[in-house]
Amino acid sequence: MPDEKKLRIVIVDQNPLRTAILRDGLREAGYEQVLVVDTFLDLEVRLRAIDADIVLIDLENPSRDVLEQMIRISGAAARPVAMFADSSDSAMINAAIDAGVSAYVVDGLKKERVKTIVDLTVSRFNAFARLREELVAAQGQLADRKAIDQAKGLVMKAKNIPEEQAYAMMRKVAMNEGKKIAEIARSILTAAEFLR
Amino acid sequence: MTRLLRISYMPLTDAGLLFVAAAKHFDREEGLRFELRPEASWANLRDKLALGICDAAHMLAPAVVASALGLDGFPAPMIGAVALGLDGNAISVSPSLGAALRAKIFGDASDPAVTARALAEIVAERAAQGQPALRFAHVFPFSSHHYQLRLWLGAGKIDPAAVRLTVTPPPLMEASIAGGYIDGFCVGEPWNTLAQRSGVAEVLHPCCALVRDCPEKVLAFPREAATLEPEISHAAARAVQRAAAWGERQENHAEFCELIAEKLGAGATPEMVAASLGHDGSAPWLRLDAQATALSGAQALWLFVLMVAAGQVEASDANAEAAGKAFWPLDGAPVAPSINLHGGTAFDPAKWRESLALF
Repeated sequence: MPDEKKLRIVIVDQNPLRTAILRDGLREAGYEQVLVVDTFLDLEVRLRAIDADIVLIDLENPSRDVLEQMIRISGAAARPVAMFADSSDSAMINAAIDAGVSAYVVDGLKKERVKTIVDLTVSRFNAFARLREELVAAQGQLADRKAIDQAKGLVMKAKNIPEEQAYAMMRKVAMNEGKKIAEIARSILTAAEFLR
Repeated sequence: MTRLLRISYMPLTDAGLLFVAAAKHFDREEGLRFELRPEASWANLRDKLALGICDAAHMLAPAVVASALGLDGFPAPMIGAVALGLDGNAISVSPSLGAALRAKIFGDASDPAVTARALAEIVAERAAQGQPALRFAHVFPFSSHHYQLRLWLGAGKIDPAAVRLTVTPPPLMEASIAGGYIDGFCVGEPWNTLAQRSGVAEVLHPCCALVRDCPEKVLAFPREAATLEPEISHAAARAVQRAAAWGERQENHAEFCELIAEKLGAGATPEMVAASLGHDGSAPWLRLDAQATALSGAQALWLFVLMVAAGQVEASDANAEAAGKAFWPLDGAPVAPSINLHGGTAFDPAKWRESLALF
């Protein structure tokens, strides 16, 4: 469908990473006119100036109420909330809620066309959430490794033993107490701080 | 055995009876356990209620009436099981609009008709000079905030089309008025007080100066769920009423306000809550007493009139009848107070069409 590419899609979101992921996804799928609004002040005026066909917004964004107003007064062609107005597709609705996506159709787009865009948004929001989880996990691992290295250094110095032996001691304590080695390392660091 | 009731709410002072019912275990005494979940938008509350993600919601009373009329584009009508208070909103303006109004006021500045006539002059002057129209924000298309702005404009015989009415989420009101994107707003507590404290807005009128004992928020249930299990919505209504009756007693005033302020957070203080309720001797803006939890068909009809005046629904008898059934008063509950309009007349549900002349 050639006119599909002309749809004006607006992403209202302040998270630059999530926005980039979604915009790239939409562009890859051939939607050329993807715009981002990342400030929520004066939102109604900004969105009217853009003249969007569809607005994608985080389900938990307080500015959803602004969109409720917009679709209410944008005239006879206005359609209410795309995904929630028609509860016949409960799988799509549940997926969208789990991902935290809501979509507003400003003009009378056909349901199938909206569904394609919403499905894509859902998968991109989920991809972003996974990325963030991985990032948090990676940061945690990094912090753990740092704590273990510091604690190991303290043990080596206090007991005048080589690195491998210090590590082996910490691992043994961790196993005996049923804890992670990083937890033992943090206990050592706390105790050392205390006794300094 | 207690039954879990997942209730979503917006962090506003008039969610207070839910906080108090849970904190003082009035919910348990009615066989329920309120699990309270804050939300960020009215749209989210409505959606989550319709989709069964929550069981009940702190909801704008007009949004419930709108759903009964099928105006919200949703095939999931809500009902009001108990009122969560009356009044509570205020109109605030930017310091510059406040000063412009004072320069033109002729008469008692606490009378909204007086300030509205001053506003009418300013609106006309701006139009004559080709300046952009003044902008006023409310919170949702189906909200008493929206209609109270229209009532104020009506008191000055100002055509609503001569100003711009827009929606701004309450947490953004302060930044919006400070940034010059809006010239005034109508919002519930604690937002007026917070904006006034930071100096970006001044409270012009509590909305009870425009209409007193106006229905504001209700505890909403999906109509289907309330029909299938009426005992649940009734028990929740009783728990709310008990919280209100408890809070009404002088000896509980301090704890009542503390419980609400603590749960609200975000800069709200017990003193602010006490001031809005008139506990400090000032004129109350907000009612959270037991009588203020009563619902009536007349209240729903009044909200219908406001919707008609805002051009949201046709003034037909069939619509009036459907609207009147949106609230389900509890048997044996106190009688809801009648709605008193500016000038002292009470709203007469039998003559609802005549009330349209107010706008």
